[in-house]
Amino acid sequence: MAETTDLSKGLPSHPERATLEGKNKFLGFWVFLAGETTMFATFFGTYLGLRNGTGSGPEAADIFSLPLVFIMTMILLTSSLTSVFAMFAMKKNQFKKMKAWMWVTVALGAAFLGFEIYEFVEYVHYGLGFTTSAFASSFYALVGLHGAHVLFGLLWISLLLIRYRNSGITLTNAPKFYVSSLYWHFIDVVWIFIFTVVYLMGIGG
Amino acid sequence: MGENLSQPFEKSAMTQEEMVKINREQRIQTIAFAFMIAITLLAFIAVGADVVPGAFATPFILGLAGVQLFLQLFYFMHLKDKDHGWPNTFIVSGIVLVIPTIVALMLLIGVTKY
Amino acid sequence: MLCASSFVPTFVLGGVTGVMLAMAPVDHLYHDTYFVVAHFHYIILGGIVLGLIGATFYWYPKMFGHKLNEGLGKLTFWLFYIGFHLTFFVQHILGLIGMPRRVYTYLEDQGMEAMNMVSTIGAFVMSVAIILLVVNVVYSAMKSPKASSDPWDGRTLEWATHTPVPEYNFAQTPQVRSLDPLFYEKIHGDGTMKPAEPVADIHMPNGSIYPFTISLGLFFVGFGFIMLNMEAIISPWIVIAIGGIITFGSMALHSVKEDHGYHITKETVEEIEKEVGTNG
Repeated sequence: MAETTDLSKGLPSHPERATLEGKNKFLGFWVFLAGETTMFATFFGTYLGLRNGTGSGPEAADIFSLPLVFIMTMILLTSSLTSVFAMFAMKKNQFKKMKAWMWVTVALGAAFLGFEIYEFVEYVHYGLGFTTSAFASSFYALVGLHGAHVLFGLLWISLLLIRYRNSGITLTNAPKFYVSSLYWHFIDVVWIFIFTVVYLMGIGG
Repeated sequence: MGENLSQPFEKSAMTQEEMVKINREQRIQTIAFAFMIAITLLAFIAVGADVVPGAFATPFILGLAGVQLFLQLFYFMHLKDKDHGWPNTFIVSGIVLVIPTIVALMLLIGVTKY
Repeated sequence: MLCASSFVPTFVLGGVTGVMLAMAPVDHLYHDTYFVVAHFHYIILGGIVLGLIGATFYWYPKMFGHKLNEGLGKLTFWLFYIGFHLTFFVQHILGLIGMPRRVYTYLEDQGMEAMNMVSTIGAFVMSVAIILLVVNVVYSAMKSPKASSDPWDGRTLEWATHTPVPEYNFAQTPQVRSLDPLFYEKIHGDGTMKPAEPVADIHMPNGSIYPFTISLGLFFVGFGFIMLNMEAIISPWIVIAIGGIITFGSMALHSVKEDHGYHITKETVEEIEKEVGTNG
C-alpha cells in the first residue's frame, strides 16, 4: 500500500492514486461508469424508439423551450469545470480552495436541479403527464433518471464535504473526492447527449 | 500506516517543475471548457436559428456531441493522462462492440432503409 | 472432469442453435417457440450448471477439508447429464413442430404428448441427481477421511495453501515462475512454492456489513415495487422508502466511516504457520 510512496515530503502529486485502495477505487469507479453508460444507453434507445408515439398528447416541438435548456446546459457545463478546478486544488494540497470549488459545484448542481423541477412542473401543467403518451413516459424516464443522478451526486458530494469539513486532504479522502468528481463529469456527459438527442433533435431534427 | 492515512499534509510534495506543469494543465482545461461552450452554442444556434438545413441538422449536432464527449472524457476525466490504460481499454472495446450493434439495430428496426 | 468434458458438446449444441436464432429471417419461424427454450437451457445448464457442479466437487476439499464421495459424484453426473438431454433435446423438436413458449399447457392430438412426457421424465431424473448431490454432502461430512492440502495433485496456487486456509492465505507471497506455478515447482523444484518476501506483519481489511445491508435494502425496494399490484396492509411506497433508506444509508455510512483494516503481527503469523504446518 502506502509503502510505495514517500510521504515525508508531503502530499503526493496524485493523492487519489497513492494507495492501493485509491487505485482500486479509481478502476472500480470506471467499471461502475461503464455499467451506468449501458443503463443510460437503454433509456436513450427507448426514447429514440418511442419519441414519435405522442398519441393525442403534446409533441416534443410543442413544449421544449430552447432558452431554458440552454441555461441548464451552461450551468451543468460550468459545474463540471469547477469540479475540475477542485481536483487541481486537491492535487496541490490547497484544501480550502478545493472545498470552495466543490461547494460551487454543488450550488450549480442544485440550480440545475431546480430548473429541471421547474421544467417538469411546466410540462405537467401543459398536459404532459407521465402516462400521457409513450413519448411522455420515455422522456420523463430518461431525463428524470438523469435528474435522480444529479440529486444523488449533490447529496454525495455534500456528505463528503460535511464529513471532511476540516480534516485537510488525506490519502483516504482524496480518492473519495476524486471519484465523486468523476461521477459529476459523467452526469455532464449524459446531459450532453440528452440536450442533443432529446431537446435539439426534438425541436429541429 | 493506518494512522497516516487520515493525516492531512503540511505541504505538497510537488516539485517546482510539476507545479508549472499542473498550472499549464489547468489552463489547457479552461481552454477545453471554452471550446465546449463554443460547441454547445454552435449546436443551439444550428437548431434554434435554423442555420443548418433540416436533413443535415441531426448528424451535425450529433457530431458536435461526439466532440464534446471526447473533450469531457479525455480532458476533464483525464483519460489522456497515463495510468488510465484499463479504462481506455474498456472504452475502446465497448465502442468496437457498440458500433456494429447500433448499425444492425437501426437496419432491423427500420430507422434506415435500403 | 466428467462435467468439464461434457460441457463441450452441450455448449456446442447451445452455440449452434444460438447461431440459428441470430439469423433474423430464420428466427422469424421459431421465435417464441420451445426451440428457444431448448437453446438457452443448453447454454445455461451446459455452460453454467455443469461448471458449478464440477467446481463444487473440485474445490470441496479446499473449502471443507474433506472430499465428496466419488462414486456418488459419478452417479450424480450421469443422472444429471442424461436427465438434462432427455428434458431439453426433445424441446428442439417440439419447438420446430410449433409449441409456443411461455405457455404451460398445449393442445391435445398435436403429436406433442409423447415428447412432453419424455421431457417431464428427464426433469425428474435431473432432480434426483441434485438430491443425490445433497445426500453426498451429508454422507461425506460423516464418512470421508480428512483431505490433505493438495488432494488432486493440483497445478495452481490455491493447492499450495494449507487446509483449512489461514485468513491471510499465504504468509509470504509466493514467487510465481509459470502459468501453472505449483505444477512448475513440482517438476522443476521440490514441489513447494518459494517465498518472494520475508515474513512480516500482514495488513488485512476489516469485515464489513454494508454490502449485505445494501442488498437487503434493494430487496425491500424490489419487493415494494411488486407490491404495487397487490392488496397489501401497508402502502408499498413505505416499503420502497424503507428499502431506499437502508441502501443509500449504508452507502453513506460506508463513505463516512474510515476503515483502514488491521494488521496481523509477525509473531501471530509465525504461530499460525507452525500450527497449520504440523497438521496439514
